[in-house]
Amino acid sequence: MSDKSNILKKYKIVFLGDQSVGKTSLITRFMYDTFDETYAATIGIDFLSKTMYLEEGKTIRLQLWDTAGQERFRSLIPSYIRDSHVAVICYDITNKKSFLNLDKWIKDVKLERGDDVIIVLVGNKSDLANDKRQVTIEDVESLHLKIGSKFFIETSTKANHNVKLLFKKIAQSLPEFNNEGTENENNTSNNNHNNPETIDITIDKNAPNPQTLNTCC
Amino acid sequence: MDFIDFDTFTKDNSTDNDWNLPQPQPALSLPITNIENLSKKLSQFKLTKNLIIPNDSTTTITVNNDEDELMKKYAKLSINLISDEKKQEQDPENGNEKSSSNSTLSTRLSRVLNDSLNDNDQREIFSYIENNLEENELNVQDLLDTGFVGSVSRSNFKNRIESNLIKNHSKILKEYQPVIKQLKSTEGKLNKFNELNSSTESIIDSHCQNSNKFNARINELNKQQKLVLLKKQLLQSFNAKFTLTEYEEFVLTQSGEMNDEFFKVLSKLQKLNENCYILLSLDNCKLGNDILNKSNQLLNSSNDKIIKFCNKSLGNLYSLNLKSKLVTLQKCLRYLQNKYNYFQNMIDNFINSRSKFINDEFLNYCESNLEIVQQESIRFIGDLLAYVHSLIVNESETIIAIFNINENENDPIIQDIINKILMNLQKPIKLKIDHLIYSETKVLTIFQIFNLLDLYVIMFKKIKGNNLIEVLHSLISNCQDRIFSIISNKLSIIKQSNSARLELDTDLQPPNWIIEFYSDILNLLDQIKTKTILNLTTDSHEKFLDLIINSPVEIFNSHVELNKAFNKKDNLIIKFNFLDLIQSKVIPISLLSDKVIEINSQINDITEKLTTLEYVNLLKSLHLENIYNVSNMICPFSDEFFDTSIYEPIKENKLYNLESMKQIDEKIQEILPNSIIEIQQSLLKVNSPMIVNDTINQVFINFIKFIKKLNLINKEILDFEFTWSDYEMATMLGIEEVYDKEIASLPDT
Ligand SMILES: Nc1nc2c(ncn2[C@@H]2O[C@H](COP(=O)(O)OP(=O)(O)OP(=O)(O)O)[C@@H](O)[C@H]2O)c(=O)[nH]1
Ligand SMILES: [Mg+2]
Repeated sequence: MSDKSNILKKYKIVFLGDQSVGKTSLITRFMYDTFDETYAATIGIDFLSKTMYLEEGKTIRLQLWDTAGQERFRSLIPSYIRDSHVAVICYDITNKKSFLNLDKWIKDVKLERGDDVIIVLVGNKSDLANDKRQVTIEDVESLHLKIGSKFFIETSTKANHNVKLLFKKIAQSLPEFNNEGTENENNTSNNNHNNPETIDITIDKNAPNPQTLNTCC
Repeated sequence: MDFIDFDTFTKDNSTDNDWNLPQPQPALSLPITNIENLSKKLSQFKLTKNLIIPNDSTTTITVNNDEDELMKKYAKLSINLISDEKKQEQDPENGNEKSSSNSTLSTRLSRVLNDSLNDNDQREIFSYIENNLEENELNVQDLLDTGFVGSVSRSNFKNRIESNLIKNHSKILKEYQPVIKQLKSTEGKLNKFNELNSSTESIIDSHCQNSNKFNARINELNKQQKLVLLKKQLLQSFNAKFTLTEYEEFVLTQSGEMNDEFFKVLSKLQKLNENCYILLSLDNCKLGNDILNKSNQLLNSSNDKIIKFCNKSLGNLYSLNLKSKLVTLQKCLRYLQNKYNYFQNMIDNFINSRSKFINDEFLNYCESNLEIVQQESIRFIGDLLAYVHSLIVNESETIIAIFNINENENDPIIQDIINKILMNLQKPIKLKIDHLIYSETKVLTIFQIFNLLDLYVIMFKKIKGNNLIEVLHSLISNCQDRIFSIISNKLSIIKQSNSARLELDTDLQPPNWIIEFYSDILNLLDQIKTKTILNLTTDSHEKFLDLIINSPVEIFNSHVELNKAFNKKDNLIIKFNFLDLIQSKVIPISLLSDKVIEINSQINDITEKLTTLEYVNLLKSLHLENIYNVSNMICPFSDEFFDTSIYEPIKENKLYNLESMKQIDEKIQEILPNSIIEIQQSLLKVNSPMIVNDTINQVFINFIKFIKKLNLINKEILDFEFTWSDYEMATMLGIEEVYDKEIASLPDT
């Protein structure tokens, strides 16, 4: 086990996307494993952090910045993109407009970070795919290829599908993580004990659909 | 005596001291015993020395007459006894005669023969005697002889018996000889044995003594040992409680590492130190003091060591990237936690250095974003607040990672540290943003800053441990103040401004400054979605509205009053135009609905004045002014009630007569047809055609109502009527419809 504590290392992940696509729901599912039907728009930018335990006793502390999709908060967001390592750009697969607006979000990200950022495309509400799908896998795949995102994935926070996998893949794609993101196992159990925010990451019961998941690295 | 007494024989041996053999008890069971007994029994039986020379002389016999006689007596007795026996054997009847004579002897004999000796013994004795008699060819008769012969033979006999006895004795004794020999040799052995025994005994004795001494010593030693053991235990437990081993001291003082062992020893030392108070309560508290001093010294040095380590680690947080360092630090912190002064001191140091670090970071950040400030203050503040936002959460995370020693992220200690570190950001943040607020002149920009700050209040409330909200609040209130002051500054500049005054010319149009003034503010007001402007208190909100509505009006009015070029009508028209402009601007803004009403009433006021002015002008041009005034004085025309008789007193007035009425009628016919154009012309500069129209209508209606009443009065008093009826005039003035409505609404006259 490595003797690294990484107390000063922060992994910043910013969640972007139009209003009501499910950014807060994704984070809530990941943090507390709950889901709420009622929509409460995010005001400004919320912060949450969580220690994630991966295989081989690796742990990682993620800082999650949940931005508001409402237009009136738009001006706040670039400041948060500025020092983020990962931009999780979300759309609603039942809302074509939210997908089309990804361009805007991607532009914002590139403006602030250039190519020095990991972009992840997330199509949420996959539980509604049968009746209401407006964005196909092909749509997102071509966008993914066009912009060079790290990967894209379809999720459902309602059905708890692919949420853990999303975060696990995010963690794994952090460049520093592979080199130094490990922590002492002692500490692992310790933290596990006293940190209510922690979860253990195991692959979702619903195995990811190979079609809905693509890693480009 | 001649008899060898067994007793005497045995007594002889007593002279030999070595012979300690106990006297056989009872005497050997030899036949001799009988003899002895016999001899004892015969002890009285003495033979005089005289008997040895029985036939010497008679003198001797006579000398010894008594003796002789006694002997005789005995002999006689014995003989009698024997003859008695013989007689008894032969002739028991004759025995009685002799028995009396021999009674003395017989009693003696019986004394000898009776009693203790049983028959067997007696028989044995006598058979022995019998045998001996035969052997020694002795004659019983001789023996029984009372004379000398008898005495001799008896003495012989006695000798013989004695020698025999001796022989027998010696024979028996011979038998004992080997035994004696054996006994003698045994005696030697036994002596040796005794010697040995006694020597052994003495040895044993001495050993015994020795061992007693030894035992006593051992006992003593045992006791001592117990004491010593007790002492040892005491000392050991004392040792355990009150001393550290050299190694432990080494661990505390020398070894560089602060590992588990260090803390174990330290906690022992702590306990030890605490326990010292027990020692101090003893009568002699020197030991307690010594130990206390020593342990205090050690504790202090250990504490120093820990603090040094803490300070060093906390001074360089990067060192805590080593897990082991972090763990040790947390152990140190956990230890120091209960030592309030040390802990607080160290924490204060850390807070100082950390907040300085954070401040430097913050200033660096500001430094590197200087260009943005100049270009766009909103963006700069947005970035700055976002930066502070992440600074807060990062710092919180870092502090929690380091100081979460009680497994509670919401530990007040942690919150306190975070708060104190961030507290020092208050000043620079406030300074930076205040600077921007105060250097900014655009109300709208400040309003945006205000909105941003307001939003961050909400956002900062959601993250724990920060007292920066206070700063935001104070910045927000600065924004409010700043907006107030920018507006009032602007207004006071306008108030003083000559050009603003000069702007007012005869075209009677509102000045440009009011248009500019509202362009900013209305933009701001448009975006407000809160109940009060800028979330102000209702009081301040009212003040703000006064500032943006009433103040400009006042300033404008003062400017108008100062302008001598305006006549009364111009004055009213320009004021109207001004208010009309404001009203048109603020009407869409719901926050200002009260102000709209207020302006509206002002506008109505002016319209009324304007109407009155035009009406008076019309009356003047028709020379009706005086009549109107007089009759109005009698009873105001505006009164709903009307009766011609009331106006009877008008007759008193010189101006009221038929002639003058005729002149007026002419005037009416001359002027009235053009009056509509006249008034329109006069109100040309009023910006609201609707108001112009209303005013004209109102002037004419007032006029016709007056004419109608005057006509009735004229008819009554002068029996005169104007050429045109009120209806004709209304039609001429184009207000017949309005007049119809007015008439309809009037009570019948
Ligand atoms: N059916 C379905 N509904 C979802 C899913 N995820 C979120 N929702 C619903 O979508 C609505 C919006 O979710 P939020 O998570 O608040 O959306 P958001 O992106 O955070 O919205 P803003 O904060 O305004 O930007 C809520 O009513 C959720 O219940 C999903 O996977 N499936
Ligand atoms: Mg949200």
